[in-house]
Amino acid sequence: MAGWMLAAACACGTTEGVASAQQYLVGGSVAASSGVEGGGAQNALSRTRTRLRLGGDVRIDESPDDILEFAAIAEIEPRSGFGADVRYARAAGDHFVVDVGLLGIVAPASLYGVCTSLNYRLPISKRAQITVGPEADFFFLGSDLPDGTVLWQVRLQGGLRVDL
Amino acid sequence: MSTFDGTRVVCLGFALALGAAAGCGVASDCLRYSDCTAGLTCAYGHCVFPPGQDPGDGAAAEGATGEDSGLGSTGEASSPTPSPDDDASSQGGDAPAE
Repeated sequence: MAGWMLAAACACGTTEGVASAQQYLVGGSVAASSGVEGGGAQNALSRTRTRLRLGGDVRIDESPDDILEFAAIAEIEPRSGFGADVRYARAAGDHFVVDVGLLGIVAPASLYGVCTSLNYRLPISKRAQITVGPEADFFFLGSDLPDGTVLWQVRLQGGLRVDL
Repeated sequence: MSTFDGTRVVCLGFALALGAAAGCGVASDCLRYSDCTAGLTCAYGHCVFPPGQDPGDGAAAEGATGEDSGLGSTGEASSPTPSPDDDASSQGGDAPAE
């Protein structure tokens, strides 16, 4: 009986020790993007809506290259729209981050798809970086899409990221 | 790849995308329904009056202008499925049949 209690105490102590060693690293970012979009039966091209993205990211210090990103999105011109995205990002070297995720516009009409981007982070201080890079979005679901249309967008985004 | 090379590749790729948009492909008024003014719908890349709706009422009178209204530069309404009631007088001119 005493042996079981000792083993349980050791297990609890070990688990607690591992958990307390982990730290969540959180960042915040703001970015703007625009580019070209196309799709539909005629594969028509046009300038895409300018988008603002206000987001955050979280990672664990034991695995700092694996990042979970999330953001609120606002399309501001020439038409407005609001949505959100969630992405898995992976650091590729000291300054590059590549991500892939799900993106949705929910108002005034819905539009859902996938997104991927490559970001270059240019450090401007110990905790802040300028971010710039291309992004590709593909929308294939939602009430805002004409039937049978897949909308694609290629964007250039730029912004600021801060380690919180 | 150096920092300078990476930035240059990103800028070059974006410039090529913009050039492709400007010089290639088919120009469009809309790719999404919400690209069009209220009362119009997106069909084949253009904002048009919904099938069966008289272009003379509703959307055009609500302030729809230019490409968003489905009205071309010549004032012609884009209507891929004109109703039997459509005639030259109801659209302020000759109606194109697309």
